[in-house]
Amino acid sequence: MEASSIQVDLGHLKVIDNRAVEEQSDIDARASTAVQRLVDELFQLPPDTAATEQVGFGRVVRLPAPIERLPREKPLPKREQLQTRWERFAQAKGIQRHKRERFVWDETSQSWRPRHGGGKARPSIHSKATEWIIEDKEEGPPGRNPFRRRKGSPESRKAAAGPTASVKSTKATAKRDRVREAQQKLSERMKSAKDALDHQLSIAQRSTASMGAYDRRIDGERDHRQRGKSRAGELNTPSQYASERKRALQVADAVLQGIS
Amino acid sequence: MRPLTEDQTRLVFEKLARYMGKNIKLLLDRPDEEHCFRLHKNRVYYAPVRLIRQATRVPKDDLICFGVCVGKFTHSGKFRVEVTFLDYLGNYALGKVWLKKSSEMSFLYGNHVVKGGVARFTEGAVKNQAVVVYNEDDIPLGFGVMARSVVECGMAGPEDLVVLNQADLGMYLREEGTLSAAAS
Repeated sequence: MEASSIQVDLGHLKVIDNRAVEEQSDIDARASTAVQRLVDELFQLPPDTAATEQVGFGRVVRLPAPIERLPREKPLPKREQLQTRWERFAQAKGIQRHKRERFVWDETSQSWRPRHGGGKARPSIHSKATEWIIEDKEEGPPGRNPFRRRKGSPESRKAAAGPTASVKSTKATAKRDRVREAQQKLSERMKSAKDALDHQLSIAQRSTASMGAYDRRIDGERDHRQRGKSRAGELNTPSQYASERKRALQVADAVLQGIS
Repeated sequence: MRPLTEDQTRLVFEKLARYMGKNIKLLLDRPDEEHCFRLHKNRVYYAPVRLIRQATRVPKDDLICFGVCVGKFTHSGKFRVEVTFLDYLGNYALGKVWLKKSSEMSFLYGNHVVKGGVARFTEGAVKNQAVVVYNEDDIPLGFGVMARSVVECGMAGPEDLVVLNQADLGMYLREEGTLSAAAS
């Protein structure tokens, strides 16, 4: 009963007696029993001969794995945070960074040459990618360069390349022309002498502190000041109810006519 | 408060004519008392002249509401009829829809009307026509537009939408804070 209540964890060299202590005097006896049990079990372990020889004296054993799992002293290492969206995407897709080598094997010179720049590797004249000789079987005057003929005439090359910058700009030009035309029309309208004069006069008549209210007028000079529209007939109090009703009915008639 | 401009009058009548047709003229030709429209804080009110005269005595900022609110002009300048004008719409409406008792509550909670909930239509209602919605006792409950014509409704299933809810009496509770009478 007593022995079975003692738990031994050889890995930690630990022994536990977790029964309640009823009398203070029992503590020493129970502690010694427990330690005796630990030592007993310790000596039942098979001796490690190699380690014993290395140490040179006494008895050396290898402790079994601990039963109780102790909590970790330090916090768990944080998983490395992926900073950018691209890094997360690349990880999800399994994209790995691949550095392009600066040197490539050059078949022509049979040596490692830089990919770009001075002394770079060139495609071999023996490789299929390079056509260094063409049979000149096309018609035409003899002695013409067949490579140039294959490239095509300057005109056909231009056509293949698509619209040039100048053609592209014609749209912009058309828009500019329209704007110019509108400006022209406007200036023509302003040039119509009477309008322009009236306009200027209107500005001049309003250009005093009193907005032209107290200016002296020349005989026959008309009042060209522009003013807000009169709100006569839009009185808030419906004193002229008949006229307001008439106007509203007119609008109603117009609306109904538009619907039917 | 001020009278409507001609453009505003046109917008209001155009919208009301969708519900009332040529009955809009009856709003101005009343045998009992002279009524007219007034604009106050972007809302249009329909009130007797006698009341408008009295309302002019109240400062603009203090005046909350007078007469019946027809609707309001939105920021984009459109005119929208409000549920407060339902009594007049109900009296003069051309397009009408009567609901069954079962779907009355659903409509009053702001839902659209499905075909299964309709007792009957006025004849010849077309798609997008503005209609006033009544219950079986002929009490107007709200208004909306037809989601499909009466002919199409014949072919529709019981769960298909027939009338789209624009306003209903439930708004007096749901939108108490924004309705004209309470808005300050």
